[in-house]
Amino acid sequence: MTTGSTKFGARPALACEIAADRVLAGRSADAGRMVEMCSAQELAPGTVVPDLIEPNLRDGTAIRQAIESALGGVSGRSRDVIAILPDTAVRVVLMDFETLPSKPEEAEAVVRFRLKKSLPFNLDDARVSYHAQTGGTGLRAIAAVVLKSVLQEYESAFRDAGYNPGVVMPSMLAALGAADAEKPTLVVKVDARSIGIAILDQEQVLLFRTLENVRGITISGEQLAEEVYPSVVFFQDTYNLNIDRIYVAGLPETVGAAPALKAQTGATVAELVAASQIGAVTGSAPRWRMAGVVGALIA
Amino acid sequence: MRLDINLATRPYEDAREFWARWGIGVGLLGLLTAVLLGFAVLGWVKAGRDRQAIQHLQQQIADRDRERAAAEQLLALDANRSTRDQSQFLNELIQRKAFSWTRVFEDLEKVMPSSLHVVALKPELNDQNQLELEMKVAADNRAGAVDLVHRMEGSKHFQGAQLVQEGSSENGAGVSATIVAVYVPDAGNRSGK
Repeated sequence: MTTGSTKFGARPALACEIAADRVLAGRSADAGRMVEMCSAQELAPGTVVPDLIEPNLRDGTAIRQAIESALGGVSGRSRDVIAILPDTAVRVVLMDFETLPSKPEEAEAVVRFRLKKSLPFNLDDARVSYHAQTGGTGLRAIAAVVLKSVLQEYESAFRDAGYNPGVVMPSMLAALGAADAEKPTLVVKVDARSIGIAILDQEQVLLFRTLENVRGITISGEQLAEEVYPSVVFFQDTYNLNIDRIYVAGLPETVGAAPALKAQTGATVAELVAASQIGAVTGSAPRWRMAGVVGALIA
Repeated sequence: MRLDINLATRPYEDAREFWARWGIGVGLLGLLTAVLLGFAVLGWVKAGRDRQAIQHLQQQIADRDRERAAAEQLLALDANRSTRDQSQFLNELIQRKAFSWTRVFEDLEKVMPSSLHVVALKPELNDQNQLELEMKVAADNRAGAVDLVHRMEGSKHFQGAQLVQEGSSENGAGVSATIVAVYVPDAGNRSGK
């Protein structure tokens, strides 16, 4: 059950992520199981300042040009695009319900009511979308909330560049599309300002957290393991399950983080975006940064 | 795993998937529309032929009307008037002589219900030179008169049978009715007997 989702569940073949330091774009192959082309454009520091409330895009012209350059190389004739927003611009909340009304409008009203308590802004000024997953005894909704003024900034940037952002989602939720979630799996996604943590099991999100990252992408494996550790312990205590696998994204050297993460959990560690999921690369688009784009396209 | 989260103000709609889901229905509707259009065009073409035939017949009627008017004009001349009157008189006489009471009663006998009997019979030529029979009948009840009208409708010798008047019979024991119909004698018997 979702709100504001695409009609008929289809998604565009193009995705573009606006991050604090660059714009990343990709196009999925016809089969939709890999990204055949991707590209990236660097942004000057301060061009994008991801925030939940304050204006995010400080230099509209530079961002428009970066979107045009990044998408221009991969878009072909397509103009519909999945817009991926920074995690710090969108609040993601997990909520448990015994049940939700069958009518989408009534269900959204219930979700909105629950969200009111956990937001630093008026919910009437925000756009909400949620994904309801059933399992066990109840129902769990993953809700994403973004302030309309912030959303409008990003959508306008895409429209000004000549693209139609028909799907908009935060980076971490987009990245989960690349993860295999059959077994207890920890997904860690690092970017310059935040660390996203998600624990998945049997195609369900069981835990979701966004932590502040004061060290940026220079964070060491041990430091990352320390940040992640409380969530792992909480998960193991709550569900009596051990993490089986860890996917890491956003770090140039996953290998460096792997021993520390493995020591804490005993799980195997791998990069979230596998080499087989990505094709030709143009510009400065390293695979470790492409989790949002790849996940959004192959999900 | 896939999460269907979409915060877009104007959500994406996939036209290809729309056609995949609704294409068969839309295709069938299109086909039905095409078939109905085909029938409509065929009907219009046929109606065109009928219109042409009607126009042709109307043209013929107009020609005949013109011919008749010219002939009547010719007959209306002083020199021809006596001939015309004489001709009309003779034609009426021939038609009256052509009326065969025997044949009429024979034909009536075939359609007359047993509960009914004829009280009076008056033959007259109407405006279109057709022989119109005005028939007074008496019966025990009204059903007999209605039955006669139905039988006359089924006979090739009587056309446009109508029950024009009904009431109690003079002795008050039954009903009397007046029935009007156009009498059509057999072609071979027009000469009369």
